[in-house]
Amino acid sequence: MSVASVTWKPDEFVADVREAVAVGLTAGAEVIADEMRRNMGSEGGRPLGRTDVVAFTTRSGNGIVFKVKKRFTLYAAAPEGAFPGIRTGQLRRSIMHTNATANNLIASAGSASGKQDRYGLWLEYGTKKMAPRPWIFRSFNRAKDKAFEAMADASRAAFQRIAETRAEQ
Amino acid sequence: MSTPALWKVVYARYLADTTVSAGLNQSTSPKVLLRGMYLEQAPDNAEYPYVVFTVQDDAQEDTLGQTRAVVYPVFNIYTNKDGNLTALATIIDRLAYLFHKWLPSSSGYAFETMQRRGGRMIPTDDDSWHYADEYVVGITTVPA
Repeated sequence: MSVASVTWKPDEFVADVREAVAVGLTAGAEVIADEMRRNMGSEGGRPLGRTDVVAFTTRSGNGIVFKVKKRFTLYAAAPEGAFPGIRTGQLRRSIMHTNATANNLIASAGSASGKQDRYGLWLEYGTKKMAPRPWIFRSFNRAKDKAFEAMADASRAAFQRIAETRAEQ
Repeated sequence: MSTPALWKVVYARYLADTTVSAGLNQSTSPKVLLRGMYLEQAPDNAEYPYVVFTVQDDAQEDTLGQTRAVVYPVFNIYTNKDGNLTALATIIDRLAYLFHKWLPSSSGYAFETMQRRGGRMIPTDDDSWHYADEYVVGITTVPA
């Protein structure tokens, strides 16, 4: 019999789509993480330089008074409501993205490393003593069109690759 | 930037909420549900519980060729950690009663209905709970 047959394999198709979507979500998260890093320090806030300050005096056991000189880095904060400035760069360095998988279709971007995670939230929402310098949501809003585009492109390319591999099997 | 105009109408609505036992701005002294509402940052002597109104983003968006501003206000609720979370929950409910699905009105501005987006606990290392209660409101017309 000379026939061409097409067989619908729904489970395989769903698995392939999930895999392609995972690649797209990861690409989108990467774009947002890049935007977050780029925005840090873009609206002001930077170290002004180091200065010597006589911070305190201390008295030794035999009554001699020492003046302790400490070096501080003076820092100009970013304006309230602006993206945070860069003080040590630790928060910016901690920004990363996680990869989505076919079984877990969630990719995320931001800082999730202990101390920096808390600090990042304090900047985003402010604290009792500090007005906010939001950077997570603002970065997402600015990058979302580009992120959706990257998501669509990466998903399409991944699905193409997967389909071609299936065709060769 | 529409934040000052929005803050003005939000604050006026808070001040007007004097409903006995349920309102955020009751006429009792000290006020029971909320001691104050502040913009951007509370003064050093602010007493719990209080709310700090901030804006997470104030962005221009193009929707179907029409430019509109979208403002993302946040009510940052600070309450005493000694108490349980009941006070916090009551404040969240009352803020939603006042501001969720509310249409702000201010001369020269055309607001869309304000909506609650969600909220989250923010970690603290002092004597307070901090809950960020997130809203969104669109603005189609701003004064020229």
